[in-house]
Amino acid sequence: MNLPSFLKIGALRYLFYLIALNMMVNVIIYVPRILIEDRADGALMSILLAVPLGLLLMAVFIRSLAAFPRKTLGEIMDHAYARWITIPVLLVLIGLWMMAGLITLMGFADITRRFIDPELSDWVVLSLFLLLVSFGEAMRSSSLLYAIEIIIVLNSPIIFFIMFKGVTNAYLSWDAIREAWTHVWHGPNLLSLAAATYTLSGYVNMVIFHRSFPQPLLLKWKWMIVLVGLGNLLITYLIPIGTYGFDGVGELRYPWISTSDTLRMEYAPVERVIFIFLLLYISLSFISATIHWHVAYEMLKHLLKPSWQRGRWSAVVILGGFSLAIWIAEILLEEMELFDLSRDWLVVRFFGEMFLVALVAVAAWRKGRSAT
Amino acid sequence: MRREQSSKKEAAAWRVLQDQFAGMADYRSQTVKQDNSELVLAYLEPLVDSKYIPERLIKPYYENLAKYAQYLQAIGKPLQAGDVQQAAQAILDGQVICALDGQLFACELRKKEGASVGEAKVEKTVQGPKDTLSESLKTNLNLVRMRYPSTDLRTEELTIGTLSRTKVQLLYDSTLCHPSVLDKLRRQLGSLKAETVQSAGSFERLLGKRRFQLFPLTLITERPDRVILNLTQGKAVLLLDNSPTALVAPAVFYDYMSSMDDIYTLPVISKFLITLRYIGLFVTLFLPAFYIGIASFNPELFRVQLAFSIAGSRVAVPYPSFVEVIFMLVVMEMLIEASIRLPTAIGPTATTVGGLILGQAATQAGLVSDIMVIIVSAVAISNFIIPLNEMSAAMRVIKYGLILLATLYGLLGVMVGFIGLLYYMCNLRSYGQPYLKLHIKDKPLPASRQELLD
Repeated sequence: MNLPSFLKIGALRYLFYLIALNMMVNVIIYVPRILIEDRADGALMSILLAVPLGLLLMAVFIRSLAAFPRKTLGEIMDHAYARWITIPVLLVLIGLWMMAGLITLMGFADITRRFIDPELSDWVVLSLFLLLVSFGEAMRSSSLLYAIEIIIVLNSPIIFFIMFKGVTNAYLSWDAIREAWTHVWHGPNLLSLAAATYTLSGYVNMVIFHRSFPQPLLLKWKWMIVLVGLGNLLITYLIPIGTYGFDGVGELRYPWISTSDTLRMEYAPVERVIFIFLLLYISLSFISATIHWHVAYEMLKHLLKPSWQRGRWSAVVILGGFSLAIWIAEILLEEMELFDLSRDWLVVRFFGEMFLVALVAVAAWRKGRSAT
Repeated sequence: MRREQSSKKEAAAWRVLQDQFAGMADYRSQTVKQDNSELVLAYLEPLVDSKYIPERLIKPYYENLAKYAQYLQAIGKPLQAGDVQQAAQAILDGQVICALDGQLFACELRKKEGASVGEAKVEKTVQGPKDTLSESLKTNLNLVRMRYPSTDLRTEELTIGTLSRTKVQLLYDSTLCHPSVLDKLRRQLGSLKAETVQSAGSFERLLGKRRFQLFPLTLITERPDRVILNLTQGKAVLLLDNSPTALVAPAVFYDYMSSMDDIYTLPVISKFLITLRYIGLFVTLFLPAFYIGIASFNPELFRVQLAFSIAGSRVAVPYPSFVEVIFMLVVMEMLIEASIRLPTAIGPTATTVGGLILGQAATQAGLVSDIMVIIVSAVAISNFIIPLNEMSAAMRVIKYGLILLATLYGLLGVMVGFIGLLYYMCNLRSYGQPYLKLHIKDKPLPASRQELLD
């Protein structure tokens, strides 16, 4: 296939997949629920602010990374900062990424029990998840990128179909959406802003995946990221409100799964859209958890002694440690506490993201200055 | 004086020619001398009937030197002295170049291998060429050389197997094939420890070395046209003596899903057929597992009418769906295995017994449901849509892993199995090439120009 030159995308598409993955997977990590809880407290303004803010952070980050071709964050930090800064900063970031995978997996285990099969016990489900994710996170970075590409290409037609079904649903109340829109001038709030920026923050995984890209990346098509990011957030937020009403939507644990359960395909063998939605989200949440843990795993490996990095035992210990953390969380946390944890995590992550971007930007600036 | 000059020119041209053919193990150059005259013969062995060379070219040279040039002119064609390209082309076309004291002649002594070459039996095509590789290495080289007359096609001869001393030819296009692939292959071939190597399949097992390997990383083919196609894609080909199949490396997932018909039909039709193949792949892998997941775990997935008709057909069946599935699939696998071994005369019996009696009677006896019979036949048929036997065999086995996951975890297990399989395949590398990835470009890129670094 000979593509026209303005459509040539090359390796940049893998960055877009990482970004798109976070946009798609926000449903599992409670973003719609948080936004909907704040529907009268500035969720809409937060969404409108989050998109330019997310894009700005993304552009600065990718631009700064270009100064360090093929380098991971650990290598950049080693180069630019003293070791006493690098180690604690990396440890905090590892914790953040670790939590991302943990919340996704536990959230999905909860969804499994609630919507797919109430008879499966959490332990059985989690052990299956951990087996798969542990295998995935220890793979090569490039292999994971190939896997994301295939999963996204297979899934995105279904996602568009579900969104289309949601928007064209005959029972969608545009009045409820209009009602939500009246709150647009309410000032933004931190939690909603943090939740909304999550959907655009897929690029941060480049801290590890950057090493797979042979050439420095140039962020193209920013307008498209704005359009898709804004459209995605608005649909995520407004369709459940339109489906369940401005007041009724507040009762839902998983607004989007419940919304997909209102959709029917009259002529298909599978009548209820919710099953398609769930099967789709199994794959998306797995690959998302795998990617987050892969990043955490690789960053942790970077902190080890070089002789240990290649060892099989260190891999087993790290993978085992992650799995153990999820077991402990499973024992300690109830579903509501998981939601609270996820809320806190989103806020910390928001600051972490800005801190990370600043870190890399300063490193790039220093490198540029020392070069001239 | 003139003669000396032309012989100098000839010597230079000769060196160029030797360089061009330097990397070819099947290139022969033979010098015969008499008094102060010299005759050099150059040819590619597999293309030329070498048993006629002493009788037709060397004997007359000693019998009548004075008229030998005229003799050569009579049986061959004189060439411009110093025209290396023309000479090289003649050699590649299967002619013998005779250089007699500065004069070049191209003599036709081409071997016709048509008689021993059979028709493709395993990888059939509708419109493509029908030839297959034969059991003789020389014939196979002849088939490849005839279809690929290029000076870039290099061959290396090796011997493997401490007892069988099997001759192996490594073929590649020197301008297209990546050196790292060749290095790795040579290293692997050098370190092979085996007593006998009798087929490309056992050769592949030896090369693989891994104890747990689900997918083939080298491709086995019996079609010379596929060998040529792979050579043009920059792959290395191994031809084994006494084996009617060639081994191609590296091979990625798409190679196994392509039939040679894909490039012999119109693009739209071949796209359609490829799509069909992928649907077949999904059916053969996932249908039984999905059946278990839906029938035993989530019957509410289907619309009510369909769920009822599945449940209705399972009313008489006294055990859970996975027993039913495994029972029918095992019977089907046995049927397939049996029909491979059966002589053609009794072949139809197996289909009758299997298809009619087993299928019909098993449902009437209430051992399996009607829908199960449909599923088993869909699985069996779609499994053979996968063009290359190695891949369809791999999928035949993997199906049971998915059935196990579906038995334990239902639909969730099937999805986890799917993603696990995807991860596994994406993480495989065949001689540096990613095994599974989406290609934007038509041709898979060589390892050095991949879009991502490993």
